[in-house]
Amino acid sequence: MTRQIWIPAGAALAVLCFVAFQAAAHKDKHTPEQLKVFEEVFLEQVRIGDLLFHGDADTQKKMGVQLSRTGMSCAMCHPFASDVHPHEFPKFQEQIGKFSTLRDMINWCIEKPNEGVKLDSDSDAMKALEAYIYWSNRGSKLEPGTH
Amino acid sequence: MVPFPEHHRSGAGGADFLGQLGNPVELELGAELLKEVKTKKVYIPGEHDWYLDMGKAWERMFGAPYWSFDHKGVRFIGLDTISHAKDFWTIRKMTPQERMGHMATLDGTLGGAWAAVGPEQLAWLDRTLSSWPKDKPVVIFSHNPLFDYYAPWNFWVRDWREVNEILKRHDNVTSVHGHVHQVLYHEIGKMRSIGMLATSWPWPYAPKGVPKLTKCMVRVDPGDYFDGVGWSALGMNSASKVDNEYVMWRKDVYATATADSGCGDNRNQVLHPRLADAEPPPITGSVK
Repeated sequence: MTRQIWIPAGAALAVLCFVAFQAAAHKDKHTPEQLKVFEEVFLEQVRIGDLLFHGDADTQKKMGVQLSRTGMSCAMCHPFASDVHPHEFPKFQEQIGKFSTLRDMINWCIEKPNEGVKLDSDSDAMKALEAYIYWSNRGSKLEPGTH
Repeated sequence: MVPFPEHHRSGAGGADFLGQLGNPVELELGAELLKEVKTKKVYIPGEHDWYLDMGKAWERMFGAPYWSFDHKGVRFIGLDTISHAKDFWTIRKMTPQERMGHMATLDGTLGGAWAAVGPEQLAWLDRTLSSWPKDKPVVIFSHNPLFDYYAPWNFWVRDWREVNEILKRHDNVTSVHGHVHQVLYHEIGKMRSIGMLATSWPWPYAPKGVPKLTKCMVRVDPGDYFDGVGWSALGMNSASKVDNEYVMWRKDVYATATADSGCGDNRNQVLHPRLADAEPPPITGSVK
């Protein structure tokens, strides 16, 4: 009985592997144009994040967000997104008093020092801010959990 | 003599507005607060004072942006190091508020070499010091530092070398500057430079080009408006040297442990100029 089950199962797996191999073997190689598009999708978010990070009013209006009510922008304390240390998250964040992600910290800065309206954690504006911060800090060594 | 606040908070609970962006109301409030100080007051401008109306309200209220006077055997000089941005606003049809907003952004990309003294003021400085004995003290105030310190953040006076050519004729020069919002000390030849704290928010040490720091300021809590900011008590000692004591709202000015120090906060940090810049090579490094 056991044998009867395993033989067809083995055969099915072999067929699947073959199909997968065939699919992989026939997958088109990435073209430079495609890679350029991938990069542009990312850099577009970096540009939007840069504008938000630097307090651009039009971008905030367009996205329906209010990151500050004090006249401060993120960049006024964090030029080039310095001193953000995105590569050190997640970690216990002292000000928040619990284990936190970079998005938690971005929202804390919006709500506390900037007195703005915090973002939905998965919103486009949050993703764009995250893209800019990571982009500007690229090359820094990953050290999650560092205070 | 008192340092002039570059920024201030105001309003009930301290949160109605923050910053000093050249609005006459803000300038008037600053002047009102300083009325409490009864000694002679002299002022130099910062970029936040200037780029809303190109210094008109500031000059009307506080006088000439550069000056000198003598007091008890010391020649005091104030420089305007902020007014030299080339016109980037007309072609972009920017409003005065937009112009000011851009200039108030530390990593703004359009202002160019706005932190400068310029030929006219250099000639004035040369004349002002030509009659002053070389062994007598000179104390010079400028908004921005008179040494190289991280151009991408517009931290320094671009023609400081020309200024230094004039100052180095003198044996005892102390430069007192603001702008960097940090504990900072530097020596170039015989000139000592002392950085003032901000009255608003502190800035991180730049990833590169920080003068060798003998003392690092505290790592600041961004949620505490009174952390990392303060003022200085400056005095001339019997050896004709300027002593400086930093005073903060919070008790700690300096810290050495990595977890508590602003220098520690500057570790493992590779930063990149904004896309709006011309993509120079990445800047890496840490406080030396």
